[in-house]
Amino acid sequence: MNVHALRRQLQAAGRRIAGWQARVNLCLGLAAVLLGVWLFSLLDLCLRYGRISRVAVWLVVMGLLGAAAWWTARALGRHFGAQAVAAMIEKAFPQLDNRLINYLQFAADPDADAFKQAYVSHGVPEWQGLNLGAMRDRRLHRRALLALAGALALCLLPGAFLGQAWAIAVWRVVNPFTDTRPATLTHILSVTPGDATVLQGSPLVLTCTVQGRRGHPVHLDLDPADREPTTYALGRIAGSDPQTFTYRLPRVNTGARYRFRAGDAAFPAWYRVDTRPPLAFVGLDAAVAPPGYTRLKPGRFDALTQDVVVPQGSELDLQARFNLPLQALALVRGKAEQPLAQGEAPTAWRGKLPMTDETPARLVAAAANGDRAEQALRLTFLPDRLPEIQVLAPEGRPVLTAGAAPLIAFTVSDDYGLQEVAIEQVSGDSAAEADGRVVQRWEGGGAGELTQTWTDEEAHSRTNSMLAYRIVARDNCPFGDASRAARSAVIVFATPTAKQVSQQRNELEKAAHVALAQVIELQQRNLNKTRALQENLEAAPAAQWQEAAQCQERIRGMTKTLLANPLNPLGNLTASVKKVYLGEMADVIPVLGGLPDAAAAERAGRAERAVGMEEKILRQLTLADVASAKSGIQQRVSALAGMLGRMIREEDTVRKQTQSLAEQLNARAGKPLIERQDNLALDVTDFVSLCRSESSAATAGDEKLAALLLALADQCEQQKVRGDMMMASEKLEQGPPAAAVPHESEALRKLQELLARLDEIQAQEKREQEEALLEALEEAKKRIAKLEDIQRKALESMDAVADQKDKNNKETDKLEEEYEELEKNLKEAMLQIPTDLNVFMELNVANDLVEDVFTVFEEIRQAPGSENMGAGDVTERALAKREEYLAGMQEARERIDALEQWLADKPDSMKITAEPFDKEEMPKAGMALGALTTEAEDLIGDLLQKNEEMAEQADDGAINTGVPDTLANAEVKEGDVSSFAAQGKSGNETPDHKEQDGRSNVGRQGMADGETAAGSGTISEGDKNIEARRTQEPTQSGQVDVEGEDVQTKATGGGKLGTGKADEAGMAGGVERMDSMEAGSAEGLEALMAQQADALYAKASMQNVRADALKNAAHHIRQSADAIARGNIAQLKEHRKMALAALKKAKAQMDEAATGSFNLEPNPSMLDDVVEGGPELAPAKYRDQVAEYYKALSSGL
Amino acid sequence: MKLPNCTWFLLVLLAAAAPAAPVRRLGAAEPSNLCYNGSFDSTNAPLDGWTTDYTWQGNSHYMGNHTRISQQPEHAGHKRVLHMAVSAETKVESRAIPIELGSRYRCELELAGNVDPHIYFTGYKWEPGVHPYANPHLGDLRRIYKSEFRNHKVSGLSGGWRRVSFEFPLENLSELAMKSLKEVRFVTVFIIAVDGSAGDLFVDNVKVTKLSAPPAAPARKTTRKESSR
Repeated sequence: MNVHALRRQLQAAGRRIAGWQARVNLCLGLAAVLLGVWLFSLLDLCLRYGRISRVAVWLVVMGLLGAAAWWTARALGRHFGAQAVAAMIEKAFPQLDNRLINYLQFAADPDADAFKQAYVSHGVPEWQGLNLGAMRDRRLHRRALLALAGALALCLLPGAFLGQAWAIAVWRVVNPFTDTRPATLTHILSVTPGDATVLQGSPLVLTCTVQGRRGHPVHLDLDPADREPTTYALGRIAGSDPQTFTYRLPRVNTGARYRFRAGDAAFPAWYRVDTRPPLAFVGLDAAVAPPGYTRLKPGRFDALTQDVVVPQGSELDLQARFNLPLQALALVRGKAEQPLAQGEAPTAWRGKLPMTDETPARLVAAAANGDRAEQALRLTFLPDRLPEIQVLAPEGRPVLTAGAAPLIAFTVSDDYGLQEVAIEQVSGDSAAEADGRVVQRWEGGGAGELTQTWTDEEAHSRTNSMLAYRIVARDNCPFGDASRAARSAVIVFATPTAKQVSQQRNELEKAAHVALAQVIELQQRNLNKTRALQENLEAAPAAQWQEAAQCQERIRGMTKTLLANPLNPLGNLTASVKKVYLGEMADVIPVLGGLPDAAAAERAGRAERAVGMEEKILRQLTLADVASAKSGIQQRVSALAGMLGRMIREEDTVRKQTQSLAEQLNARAGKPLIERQDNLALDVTDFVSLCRSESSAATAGDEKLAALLLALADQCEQQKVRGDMMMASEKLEQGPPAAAVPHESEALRKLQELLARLDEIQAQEKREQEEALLEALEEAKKRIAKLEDIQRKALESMDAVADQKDKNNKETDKLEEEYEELEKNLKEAMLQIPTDLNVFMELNVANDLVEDVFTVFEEIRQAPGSENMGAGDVTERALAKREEYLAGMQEARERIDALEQWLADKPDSMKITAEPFDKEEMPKAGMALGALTTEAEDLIGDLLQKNEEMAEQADDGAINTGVPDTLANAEVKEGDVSSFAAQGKSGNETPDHKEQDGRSNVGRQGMADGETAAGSGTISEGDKNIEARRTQEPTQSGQVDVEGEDVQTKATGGGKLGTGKADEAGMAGGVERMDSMEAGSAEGLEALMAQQADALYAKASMQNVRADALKNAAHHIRQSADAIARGNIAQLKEHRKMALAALKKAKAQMDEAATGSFNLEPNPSMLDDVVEGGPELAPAKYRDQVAEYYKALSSGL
Repeated sequence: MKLPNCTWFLLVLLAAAAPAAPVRRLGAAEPSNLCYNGSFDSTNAPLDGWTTDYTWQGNSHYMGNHTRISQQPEHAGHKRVLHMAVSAETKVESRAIPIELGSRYRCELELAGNVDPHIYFTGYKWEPGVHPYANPHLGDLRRIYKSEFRNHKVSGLSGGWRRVSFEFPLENLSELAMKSLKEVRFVTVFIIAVDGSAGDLFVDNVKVTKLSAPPAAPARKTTRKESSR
């Protein structure tokens, strides 16, 4: 064998050895792969890989497989050299020794020595017979195969126990891309609704159907977008049949995802629930176009947020926008449905609708997905109301005296304009809708208001005992039918004969007189009873006090009836009785009723108050009784004068008509003229009869007047006035009218003579009244002077006693008692008299505020002994009028700055009395006022200890000497000149108890008449005894922030401590109301009108003519002036309207008085504003409070 | 090393003096002067800390106030004194001194001249809206308190320098005074010359000290005396 062959054989052997190694590697690699599959499958059974895990696992398995393959290929591809194979063979066959290698090496050496050659030539005879197969490691091969078989068995073995589950697991491991789910005991069969989109806010039911092992739990995992995920346990599987589990979401507001988990059911899927918004209105614009006749402007509204105001007959243009496309939109009104049209987009719709009635409307929208949305329209329907008719006069049931013409004053108003107003004459018992005879017609012309005073000029038969009218008004509304009209109630005038009128009047007056007498008697009795109870205060039983209170209630009720009596039986004392009715009559009831429940210490005071009030009531009623008698007579005289005046006017008219006819050729008098003359003749008869009957009625009260009336009747008869008229009538009937003129003229002259005589008597009566009034005033003055004198003497006596060294206590005590009694009486009397007020001028006011007033406290050590100073230490300083100040009062120069000031350490012991300027001397323009600073310093200290008697003695008199500004330094004290600089300090003394003028910042509480200039500040302790604190000017604006503790602020009626204007409520100021007097200004005109209305009211009252409406008119005129000042046009219009109505009513009232006509029904306007008190109805402990409340309310009327 | 004799002596002296030093500190405490530049010799400016210029008040009476006040190098043996040349109402105030509520303060000063000034403590609080800061300008403070003045009116100064003193607040404060006082945060020494004819006023050595004991007397309520009848 040569070496080459050997080499080839060795190489073949090497390949064989590599193959053996590769086989072993393959077996071991596959075993590893199988073990991996087994292991991962086993884990899948427990862990249930997800997709990613499965891929990862598969990659691992593939990695193992790859590694095995690589390992096998590597072993297979290994190349052994011949010598390496020889070495391996020599190792496996030791008998070869090294011969095989040596042979190969020696043979490779071409220059081998002989030995080597010999060795080579010898060859390797052992080679031939070698069994190379023995070289294979059979044990290793067997182990590798065993490993492979074991791994395979391990893979197959779980299949025997787990069956398909194992196969699925193996399959899921080896094929990660299959969707085969792991085998479980429980399966989720279905889930509803799965992925879904639901209506936002709607409920949703989640359902799943499962089947599986009994006892397996079922859960719901809910993961809303707006909160943390939540798991709900739905229950457990009860059996092997499919079972359904549900969960209800009450409201789905946001998106969410959810899944059901059931037992071991693998990989429960998440489902998504999305929401969609409900169909909704995004915008709803409404354009309202009112009908032209209303003259209203078109309006635009956001109908979703605003009320849409729709006048009747308007066209409503609706534009709606939605969040979703719509399929249909309709306006539903009642049962009617009107579709709207789609606009530019499916989400925008619009439509126009006529609005003729106020049926509620709603919009109903339907979306393509079936959603519906409704929106009620907030419509405020303004119907065209029927005209409003207000009858200003007559009120109640008027009774006309003979010949008096019916007079109707009315106002008709309509919201959009009047078409026609008519007065129809109807029968008294006609139905409401029945048409009457139109006696007067006015064209409305589209005006909003028509005010008319109409007098029936037609002659009516004297046999008619009643005339009835009705006002009919039609507006310009085009939507109604012909019957659309407003009708007033029937206005009935009773027209009895003069005798009947007189009789009725007598009856009414008699009844009123009896009622008044009864009230007076009742009050007298109750007063006596109350006095008796007062004397026996402790023992008086509660029931008797209650009886007294009930009696007062009765008296009040009867007084109310009297006040409402249309004949005005209380005459010119009606107003004062009304005041008592509202005041004392109401107050005394709770005082009496609550007396038993009052504390023992308070009873005496309450009883005294009750007696005082009852005395006042009795006094007023007694005075009213006297006035009542006079009132009746004067009213009769007024009626007769009015009747005579009317007859004169009519006779004059007849004469003029006759003369006119006489000038015409062949003209004859018509029947109406003849009848008019006849009627006048009959009126003369009535007049005579009336004079005689009134004379007999007046005999008891006024004999002089009775005689006069009788004389008038006699004169009328003797002069044959009626005869003249009858002759004139005959001449008119028989021949040419000229023949009647002399008789008519004669009758007219005689009537005028009668009237002149009557007027003279009336004028004399008035003069006597005025003289009596002046006399009474003089008397009052004398009495006051006497009271002052008594007080002065009493004080002097007391001083004299006090000065005695040997003080006689008894005498002092007696004097003190007397003095106290006297002082009490004086206080009562003097409080009623506003002394010193006359010296105050009408101040200018400036709405100028010191914004910040701050307080500086100064320590004061009172001068020793000054606290013991007495009245004797007071020195007086009297100052004459200082003319030099007048010029300075008219102008405010540059403001003078303040210097340092200090407090006094001794109390004021100087009494200053200054001669005041007369009002006429004061500057016409009032006090000049300079500008104020924005902040001011107030200086206060502890109040000085002071003898009260001395303090009163040192009170200064009222001063009206003022300066716009002054240099203030040194001590803070009251001086003899008032300053308007608002620089004064509060100081450390209480203010003098007097009215003080000038401007001031907040200081110590006291009485002041001037202007408060501080915008804020602290009111310090001061004079506790203040009746009121008021500004002269009720129209001043502003408000002070009062910071003081426990201080009284009594100011009312305007000014900076109480804003607003005081006309009725509160106090109007110390002088008459200040209105603008600027010539030509609207306010000035209003003020003038109001003053004239007031003056006329006063005059009418003096004549016993009721003209309450005039007072109301003045009130409304002032209110309208205020409205002008505020620029409130709406209020201005309303007040002017009310003022006009009041003036019309006043005219009618005065006309009635002139003719002697009267109403048979109570006057409704007299007490209609009265707030009926309820204190007696309140629990005892609250009666006082409630009484105060009602008093305040009633006093505002 | 040997120390010299004098060194031993000094060491003994120091040892003996050591315990004496604290005793002297405690026993001889001088109350500090709260009034800045009360001797009118500040190196910043002679009248540093004293308010003489009141033009910020806008009050016409005090527009020229600062022109009437100056430092005078010497007057009647006192060097560097405040001089008020009074020709109209003239006033001067020390720097605002923060006070401790409940404590009492004493002011001592020396006066000379021929006018009769009023001198008292004036109490201030912060003007509304002003943020507190150190050494405030009087324009940022609001005056709300004046200590008693009647006994601080100094008369008869023509005889040369005169030392006066007064205290604040009163010993027995009323409720109203207490109410006002509790708002006070600073006081100044307020010197004002008003009445009398023109003249000169010299002020020196103004010293404000806090008294050790705060007032302990109960509050007194002012009552009005009843009528003697």
